[in-house]
Amino acid sequence: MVIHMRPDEQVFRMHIQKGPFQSGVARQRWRLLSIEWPYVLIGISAAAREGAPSEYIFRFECSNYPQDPPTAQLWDIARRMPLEQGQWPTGRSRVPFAFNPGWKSGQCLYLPCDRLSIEGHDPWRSQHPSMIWSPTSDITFYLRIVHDLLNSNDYTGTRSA
Amino acid sequence: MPSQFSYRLIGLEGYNMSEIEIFLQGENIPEITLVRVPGNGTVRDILEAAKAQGLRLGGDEASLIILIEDAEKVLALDLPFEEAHIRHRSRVHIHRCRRLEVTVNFNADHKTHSFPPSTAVEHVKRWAVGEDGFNLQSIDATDHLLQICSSTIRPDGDTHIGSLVQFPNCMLCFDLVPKQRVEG
Repeated sequence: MVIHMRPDEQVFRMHIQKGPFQSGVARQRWRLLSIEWPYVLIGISAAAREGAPSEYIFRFECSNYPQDPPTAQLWDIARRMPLEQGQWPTGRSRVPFAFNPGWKSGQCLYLPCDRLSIEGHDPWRSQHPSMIWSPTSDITFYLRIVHDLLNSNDYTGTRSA
Repeated sequence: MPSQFSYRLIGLEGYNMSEIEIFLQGENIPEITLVRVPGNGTVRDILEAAKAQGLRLGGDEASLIILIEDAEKVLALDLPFEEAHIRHRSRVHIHRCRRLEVTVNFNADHKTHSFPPSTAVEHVKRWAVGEDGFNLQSIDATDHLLQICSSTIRPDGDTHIGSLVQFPNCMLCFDLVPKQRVEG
């Protein structure tokens, strides 16, 4: 049986074999869990906080990758559904803005690199140019931004802790 | 919608245990690049693997130096991996600059220090906020990052500083800037 893979999935699979993604795996910053295109589950490690997990799982929706940015939501891998709000990461300043369950019903992260969040936020392109996705970006561009938040002193643990 | 998720770990395809993988950075190597070399090889094999992968190194064997990440010692090309302490997924750097003169600006002050090109940006930031730099005990280092002067480029902490310059320019300038909250 011949399985036809979409071009966006082909590019994604090529990117995760390359140095930038594998470097993060080797540093235990993130790990690939599954690909069921266009959905990709990736675990991103977080700094140790009391009562909080050592990693959060994100479900990326990667249609038309890398021409279009991915969008990601926090995911409950055991229940196969979005992570309940109490388990979302939070913090003092930058983290609670990025992980805001009230933004678009928790469908995405409030970050300029996110496909759903950049819509209607044109000022972000000049305010946060280092977080703007381009067609030459790869998934590690998004992963680094999230990993940085979850490993900053701003991050304090989960909302319910 | 996907019918069923499989949560197994997905590994590299075609990995051969007689080979090891090296994370390579350096002059003319804009992103971390994985190269495969014989597990019982020598440092020179890294150069050969880089060329075979189409990387355009800045010079010939005589002009290039090879170092391990954050290390000062230049590795001899004939040194076996074991003696060079190069293992599977070690991080290695190739460059023509032996040292880089790095200047970091913070507010109206600046500090300068010489680093090997294999130094990671994160290492430079730790120096900049530490006692030998600006001694910024009052700020949270995780809330600041290094941005290349006169640009909006903020290299990842894993990036080797040599990847950001090309010989004969062996100088680099950063601004230490606060990370901004995304809002609005």
